Amino acid sequence: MEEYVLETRGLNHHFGSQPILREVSLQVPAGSIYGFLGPNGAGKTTTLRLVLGLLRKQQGEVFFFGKTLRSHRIEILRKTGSLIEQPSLYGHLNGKENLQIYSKVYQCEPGRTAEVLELVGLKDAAEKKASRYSLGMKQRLAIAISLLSRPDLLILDEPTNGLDPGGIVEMRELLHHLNKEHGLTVLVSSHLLGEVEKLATHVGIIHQGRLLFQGSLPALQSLKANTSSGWMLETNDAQEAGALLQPHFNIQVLTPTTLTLQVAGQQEAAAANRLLVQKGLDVYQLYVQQNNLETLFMEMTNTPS
Amino acid sequence: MNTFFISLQTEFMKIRRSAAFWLVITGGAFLPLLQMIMYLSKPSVFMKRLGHDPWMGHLLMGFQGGAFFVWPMFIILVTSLVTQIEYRNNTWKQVMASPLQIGDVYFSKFIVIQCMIITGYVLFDIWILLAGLGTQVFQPGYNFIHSPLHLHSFLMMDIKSYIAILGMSTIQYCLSLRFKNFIGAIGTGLALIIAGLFMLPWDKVVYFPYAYSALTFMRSNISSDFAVLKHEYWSLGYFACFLILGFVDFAYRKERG
Repeated sequence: MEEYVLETRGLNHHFGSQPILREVSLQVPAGSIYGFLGPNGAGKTTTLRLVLGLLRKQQGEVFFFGKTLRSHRIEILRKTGSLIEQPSLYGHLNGKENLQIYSKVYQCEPGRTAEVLELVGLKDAAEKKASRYSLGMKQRLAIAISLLSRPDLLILDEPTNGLDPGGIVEMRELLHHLNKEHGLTVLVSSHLLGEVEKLATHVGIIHQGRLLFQGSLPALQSLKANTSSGWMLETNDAQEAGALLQPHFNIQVLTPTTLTLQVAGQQEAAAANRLLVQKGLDVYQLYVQQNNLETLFMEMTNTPS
Repeated sequence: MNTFFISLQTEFMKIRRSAAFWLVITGGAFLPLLQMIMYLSKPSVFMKRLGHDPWMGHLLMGFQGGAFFVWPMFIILVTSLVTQIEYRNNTWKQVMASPLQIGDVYFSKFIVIQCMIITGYVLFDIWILLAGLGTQVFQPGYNFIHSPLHLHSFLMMDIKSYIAILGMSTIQYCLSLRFKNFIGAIGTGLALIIAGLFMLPWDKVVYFPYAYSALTFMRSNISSDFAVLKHEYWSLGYFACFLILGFVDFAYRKERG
């Protein structure tokens, strides 16, 4: 049986009468990089805040290393590093002083502050005020804080938000390094599918508070292979295009302007195109879907709940 | 090490070079320096006013001058600025996701605030002394150098003033933990101070903690009678009640950080 570093069971949460999470049961295997994927507002941050005890739990259970946060809070938080939303740093203190505060909290050995500064590449900026750091440097310092205690689990909420492409690559390399060299389990949320594909070993897809998929990255890719091999069509009115194509082809409307189309080959695709043009619809693009998860993600997250 | 002492140490580390830190360092000098400028600019008036016991007159002018507005405002600013360190830097969530007990965080932050207020008193006392001596240096006609210092009165006024503001500073601490917005906490505190000043002629003012500093120093025999007054007992009561209520509110809120 697979061992989970973090597991939630039947997590439900609502703000007022509005349901935010519905029966979310995450299973983060030991040693994995778990990409928690979903569009903005899907419930990712709420899930992570609940998991860390930053929001009071309403229904469901959270287990870290098989233990509940309620009864083993200090022990669990000692082994868990986190970065939720924007970096949490004291702007009036320098990078080193920020680390020293949490070094004290986690009772780290002397020298650990210098080690993590080196690890995240901020050794030369250690004496600079945190308020003068760039966003990328702030993210790295926040990750350095979360690594101080040599945690078993790192929880990162959208760590690449606001980073430039170079920063995103650096962050990805750092997480790969921590996972491979230090055996750290990483739970990282993102709304960028491409980013999760490049980073994660396991994926959970959440949409409108429901976990739509959970499993390894290869399992998600094989699901894609089984469920979609079609063409992507972009038009001015996907609903009307869908109604015209429905009698002849297997289609699925994704957005007001896009739909997927199952056709046998190029000639059938051309016939579909002709049909739409003859009926006065504009066809902007018609192409074979790329071999990535984008379509599957779109299909999943556009399914009416 | 006990997590409470760890939390206390980290709270002291956080205030380094913060706005609250600089306010405490510089705030105590405000009134004494103002007094010194007054003494030097109108020596004939103030030599008479300070009388034959200039240290006591100087001390009373400092305490009474600050008790109505400046000192309560200082307390509100220090309390709010310390708690705002977490809100402004968006660090509550990191604090709450770290391996510290909720009570450690709440009480250590309160202790740091009280230490800063007490430091404010010590610095105010030092500046009062320096202002007296400085006046003597630049205007030898004053009689500070040959008069008794009244260290006991000094200390007793500090203690009475501290007791009077303890209830108010505890309430302000609870408010500052509630308000994410700095202006909200400061604005509420300021409104309550003004309300307290407005209520001074009313006998029920003894139940309104934001007026206690003024109540302590508006008596004529403050320099000789140091008995604990009714409103000062109330201040201690407010301190105990709001420290516990604030903790319950802090520990059981739905959202932390």
